[in-house]
Amino acid sequence: MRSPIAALTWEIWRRGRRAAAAVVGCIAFCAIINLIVHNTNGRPPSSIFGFLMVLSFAFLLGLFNCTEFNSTREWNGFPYRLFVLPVPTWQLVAVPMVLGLIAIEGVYFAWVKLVWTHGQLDNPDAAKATLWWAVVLGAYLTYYQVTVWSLAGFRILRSIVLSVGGVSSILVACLPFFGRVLNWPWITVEHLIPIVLTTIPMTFIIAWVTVARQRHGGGRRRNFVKALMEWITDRLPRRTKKFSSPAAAQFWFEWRRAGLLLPAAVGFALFVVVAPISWATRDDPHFPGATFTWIIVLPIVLGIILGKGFAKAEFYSRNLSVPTFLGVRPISDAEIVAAKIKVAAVSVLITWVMVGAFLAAWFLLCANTTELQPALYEFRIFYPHSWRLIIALCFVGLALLTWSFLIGEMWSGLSGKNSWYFGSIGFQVSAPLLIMVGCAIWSNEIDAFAKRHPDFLKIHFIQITGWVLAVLIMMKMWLAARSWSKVEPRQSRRYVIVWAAGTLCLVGFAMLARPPLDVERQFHVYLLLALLLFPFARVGLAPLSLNKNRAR
Amino acid sequence: MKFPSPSSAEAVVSITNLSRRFGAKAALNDVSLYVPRGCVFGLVGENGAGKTTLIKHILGLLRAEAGSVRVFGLDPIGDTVLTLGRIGYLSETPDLPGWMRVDELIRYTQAFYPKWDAAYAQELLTQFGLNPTQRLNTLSKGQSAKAGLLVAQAHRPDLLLLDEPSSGLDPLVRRTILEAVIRTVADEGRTVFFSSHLLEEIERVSDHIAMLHQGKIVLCGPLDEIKAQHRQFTLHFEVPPAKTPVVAGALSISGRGKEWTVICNGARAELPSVAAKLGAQIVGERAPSLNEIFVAHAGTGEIPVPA
Repeated sequence: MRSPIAALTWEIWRRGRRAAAAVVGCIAFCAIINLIVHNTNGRPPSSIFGFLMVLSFAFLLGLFNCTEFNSTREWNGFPYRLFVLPVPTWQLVAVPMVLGLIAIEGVYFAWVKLVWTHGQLDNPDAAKATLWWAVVLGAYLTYYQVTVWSLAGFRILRSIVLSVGGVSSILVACLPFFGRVLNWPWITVEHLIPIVLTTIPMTFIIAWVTVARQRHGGGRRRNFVKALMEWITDRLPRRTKKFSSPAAAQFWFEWRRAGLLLPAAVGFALFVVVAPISWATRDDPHFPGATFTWIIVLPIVLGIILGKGFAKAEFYSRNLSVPTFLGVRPISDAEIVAAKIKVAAVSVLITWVMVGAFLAAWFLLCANTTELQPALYEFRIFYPHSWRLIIALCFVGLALLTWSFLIGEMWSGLSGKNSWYFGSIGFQVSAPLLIMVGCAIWSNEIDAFAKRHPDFLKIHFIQITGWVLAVLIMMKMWLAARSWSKVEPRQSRRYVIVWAAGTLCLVGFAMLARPPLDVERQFHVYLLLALLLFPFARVGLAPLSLNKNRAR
Repeated sequence: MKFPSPSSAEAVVSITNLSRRFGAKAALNDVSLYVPRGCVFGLVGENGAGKTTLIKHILGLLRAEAGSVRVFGLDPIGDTVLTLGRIGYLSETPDLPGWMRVDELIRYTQAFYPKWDAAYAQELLTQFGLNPTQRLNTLSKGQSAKAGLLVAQAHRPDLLLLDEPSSGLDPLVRRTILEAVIRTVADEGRTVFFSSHLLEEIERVSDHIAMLHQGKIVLCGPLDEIKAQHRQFTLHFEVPPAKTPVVAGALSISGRGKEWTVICNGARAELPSVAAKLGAQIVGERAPSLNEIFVAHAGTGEIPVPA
């Protein structure tokens, strides 16, 4: 390397070349699809393009965040090792920022020129809009970088700031649209571009100052917020009693690491995002339906996301190996897994109690239920005797689903194998994506087929689905029998009871909530789905995975 | 090379023909080792010799690819809980969760060991000068080592396993760790397995040693016997040899001009005649230090000629 800047650039490239390849792959894939659709005069699958475009920007953020995790210091910020290089701080900061800006703008214009060529951006202000989005994207990247560097050591606060910043960026990006709709002459692209552009050098200066402080030892202990938080936590009541058993100690350990994350994340979203929006739109009858759906879906979505971290031996670590501190504890693999399962259960329980309380308060205080009333009335007409039980079982089912998402990935996360863990996540992301892509590409053919064979969906599709589910259930039971037979009988018995109770709830729900006029005979599909949903085999595999990870 | 193998009843750790590879590199190659009960067993070797890999096998954190590992007669992977319940472990980087406080670490660890001695833990806490309410991520390296040592020792383990515990620590903390080793041995029937590349430390406290070199045991036995077996001779040549002389039975030979130093292992009787054949005479003889024996076996460099 001829210069430090070249060396730093090479390091970013070396570390992120896979992400870069993924970005190029996303653009190339969409460009090819776009070309095919263009040649066949079809409709481009815009939702897929949009999703992959966002995904490519997420890859770029990962590539240029330039942070390293230090488990001892619980620090995930600008790499400390770079501080000893004979390079001025402004250069250390500027290299990832400038490269990031170049990359994100390059990728954005590649999307515009290669993929969005079907007139999606074709409007009178298309050129200005394209430029405006490029400016917002660049500004968000620098904002993202300065946040991850300056809030190193404040993981939760950083997540909140990044989320708020992400939402704010979307709102900022939409400002010209609001300005046009609301007739605000000063909110135009021409006015906004210089304002946003000035924030980029400002973020650079903030990043420079904070990284320089960290470099010279002023980054953490002198931080007022951190000191204040520690002062508060020092005064909160702490456990001073002995643990009654190793299992109790392990439960406490797991709880302290990840137990409050789901309730905190859901609580934040409910009270900071949903509650103000609900209050602001309390007189609008169109909002409550969507708000209600979001409130219900929120814990499940967050359960899926947090479940990926929860599944690992160490929530925050990128390394999937069992930490030596945990590995040398005289406690069985099944007990460690049981502690994680219990923590997930308590976490989900707190979350859903909170959601229930929020829903009750929302209905009483600020929900305009004008549009919900007919649906509720219809529901009560169809299920006159069991509607209360159905609602109760629906909540139990949703809680069980959230729980299953928290613990369902442990078989891969505890294995210590990147290929299993990321392969499983990749499958979960890519399988629906491929189905969506397929449906988008062959949507005309699928429509034509459905019109030609109207009975197919009603009869054969349901039959095939039923058979597929039945085969999956058989596979699940076979795998469960094999995996649980290798786990301590006491733990196996306990989980079988939990699984049976959970599955019974889901089956009860499926039986009670089946369509009142089941002309297409879908009931057996609901029943089979209920039998399939609650994790059994995957949880049984978790202790075995952990055992392999613990003794490699 | 064959080494003495006490019966499994006497051995706390018994390793037989253990091999382990990481990719193309053989980290351990046909290692056999027996750690007698009640001894301080020192494991020495250069960086990357396989010391930590060997210790991880004893802890059951690595599965033997070939050969077998038995700790207290148990399989550390099959009987994880029973084995680890009798071991106290401290590594070079104690890997303690930073969010915990010292008192929480003590209470958490206590739950796993029925034989936990709370009074002893309190005594060690006071002796080490640790603040119970301090977070572990705010401890210095030496304090972290002390905290790790406290929880490794307070359940009075049958086997105290120390993996380069004093590497990078100041002399005061190193002394604390060595005192812990001595105190553990003072408790009847307890064993210490101690790996280090600080040979002076090993020499001070160990009564048995094993020397690992590139994944192989090159030397193993009671320290006194090993030191007695090895001798260092100074040869004086009337005419300086043009190239390094070849001395049959020597582990290493170094020097320049007329003065050359030879370290032998058990070939003491033959050396005068060999020296005479080379046209040299023995002008000095002494017991080499463990450091010199290690370098002679490792064969990685020249031994400095003593002044």
